[in-house]
Amino acid sequence: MNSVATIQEIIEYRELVKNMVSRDLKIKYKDSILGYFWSLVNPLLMFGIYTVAFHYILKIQIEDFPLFFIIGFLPWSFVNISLMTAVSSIVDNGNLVNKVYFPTEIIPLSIVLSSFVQFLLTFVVLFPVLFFLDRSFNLPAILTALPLLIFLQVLFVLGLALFFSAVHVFFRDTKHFLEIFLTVWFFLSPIIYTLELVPERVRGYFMLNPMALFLTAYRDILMRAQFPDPLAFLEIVAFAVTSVLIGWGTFSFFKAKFSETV
Amino acid sequence: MTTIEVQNLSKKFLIQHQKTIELKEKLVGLVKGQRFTHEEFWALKDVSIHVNKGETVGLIGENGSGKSTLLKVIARILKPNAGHVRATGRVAALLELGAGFNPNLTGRENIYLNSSLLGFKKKEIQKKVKSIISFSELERFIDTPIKVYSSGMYVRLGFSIAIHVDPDILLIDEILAVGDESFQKKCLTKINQFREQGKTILYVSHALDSVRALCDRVYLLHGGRIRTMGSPDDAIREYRKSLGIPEEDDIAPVRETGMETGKASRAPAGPEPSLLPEEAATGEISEEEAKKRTEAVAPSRWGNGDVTITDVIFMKKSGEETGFFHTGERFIARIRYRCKKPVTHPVFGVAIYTSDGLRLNGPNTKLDKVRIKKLKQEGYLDYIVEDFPLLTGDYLFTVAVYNEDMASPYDHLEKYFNFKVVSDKIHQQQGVVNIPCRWSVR
Repeated sequence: MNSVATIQEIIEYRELVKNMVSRDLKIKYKDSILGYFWSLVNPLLMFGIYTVAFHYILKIQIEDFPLFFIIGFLPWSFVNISLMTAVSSIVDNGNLVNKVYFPTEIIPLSIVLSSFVQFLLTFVVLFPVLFFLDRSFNLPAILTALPLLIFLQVLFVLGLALFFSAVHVFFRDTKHFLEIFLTVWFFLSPIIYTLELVPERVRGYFMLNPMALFLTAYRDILMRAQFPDPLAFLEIVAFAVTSVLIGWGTFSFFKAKFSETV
Repeated sequence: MTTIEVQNLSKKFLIQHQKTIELKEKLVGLVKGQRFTHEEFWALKDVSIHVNKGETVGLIGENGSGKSTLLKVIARILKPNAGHVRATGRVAALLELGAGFNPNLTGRENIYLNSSLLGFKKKEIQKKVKSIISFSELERFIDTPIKVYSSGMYVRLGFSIAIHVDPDILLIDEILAVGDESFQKKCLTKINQFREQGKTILYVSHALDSVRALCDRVYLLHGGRIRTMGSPDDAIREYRKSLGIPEEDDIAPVRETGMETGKASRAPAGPEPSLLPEEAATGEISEEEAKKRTEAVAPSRWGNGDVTITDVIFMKKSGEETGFFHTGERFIARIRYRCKKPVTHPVFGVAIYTSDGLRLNGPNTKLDKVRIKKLKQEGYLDYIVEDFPLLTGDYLFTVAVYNEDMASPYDHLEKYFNFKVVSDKIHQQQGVVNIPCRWSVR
């Protein structure tokens, strides 16, 4: 089946996507008293810990470190949570893949979407904070560039989720590898440091990291109240598109064998 | 018009010695020059079948013969290595009830999730949700997380969703082998309604009785190939032969295969309600028959063998052989016999039991004043009921022939046969018998 037909089919099955996302969210907070509030607790906690550790103890010289950190940390968490959940998703849903026909792309897709919803929920909290801190807002940038940037990040994450979930069906080491990879990636991305702190001769290599581009763009819009660098933005588009193409291609290549392998 | 067309289909599986190969092993293997040899296994080899619109076709065969694989390929869950499949219309594959249920969600939430998994749009689900709940009989528990459901409730919900898919083509794999007897009845009735609506059904089952009851044609698979195709009876006979089930006197003890791996049709061993109570105990039992009786608690057979009942076939009004009746139809049991020596004034009798051993009747030719002067060397006798009153269920059938004063049995086949009845109307589901009546309100 070609990609167009598959996409049409996924659209046909949109009700399933919706139900799987809401199932994910419901189950996560079902029997808890504070419910959705918990999705805010974790980032707040991390925010507190990192701020104390790096700002007050290590005294990293970054202006407005708490804000700087949280704007980097939230988009990173979106990547991290999506991939860690998605990687084993096809295998975990083996009973479905085995017994029911439906476009299997929906499994990683709905996982990415449900962590995207959580990402948005935490992101919303950011705006009162910005307001409280009396930061200047660049409303045009927030209304145009920010949604576009978030959309591109969803595409980027979706590509990776498709890739890792498909590969994991055949090589069950993928999950362990991904854990290490994500830890390394965290420290190679400018989340707890700025790119200016990176020695100049390796800084160019750091900019090859798509996360560096994403985080810089987020900070441009939200901290510096400006539009992101157009050239960097084009690079982000390129990364997002490449990621989706590779992820989709890999998934399509492997998916026919899912039902007999999981 | 053909609805399912399968041409020269082959499906290969690779059997690895370990299902998942860890990277380390792979690397170690490469260094040592080992290669991971996979064993090839052809689950299906050059299989062609066709199913016409409105037909109910059965697939039988032993475990590993490729039935389920074929169903999965038609359902597009597996991709064939060669050949192709064409299915016109909406296909619903009922391979497992409640696949994808989430224990933490309520019954209602699971209805939405599961229906969308089967390809429903929101509006369609909303339209059907009421009917799904009422069919499952789970109204009281529908807003409770299904982790507290019993396995029976779980299955009921799953089946209820599945049958509301309303497909053009229904692929069913062994799902009737679940639930209690009354629910099985309900499922059978529902599937029968599907047939009457002209839906196309491909039915895989080990329960040969249900295959006989439901299917128009049957394919017998063996080792991934089609062995035969024919009427349910022919295919089942061929299947039994291939399994080496002995067919003494051409009588296939159809009893053995109940709906649920034989359990459903096994009657509890109680005081044996014999056909002719006062005389049965005095009947002589040949050594061979005695041995046979000890082997199987029920069905059982005894008699001196002067007359042997060689076969009993059940027929519908049109005279065609069947194992399956509708309430209100004509029911004919044709009893074939053979005599070893001349026999005069014999008495034939029959009895019908419910599957749990409750005796429903027990007429014989003497009571009904049918005089049989002398038996031919070979012949048959029909037991005919014009307006069959029994409702949905499995029933056991006893046939016997005794001497004139009913003191010694020539041949007595106790609960040796079975047949199945399906009622058409929902309101006739309660109980075992349809008692015609009218209501009068004042």
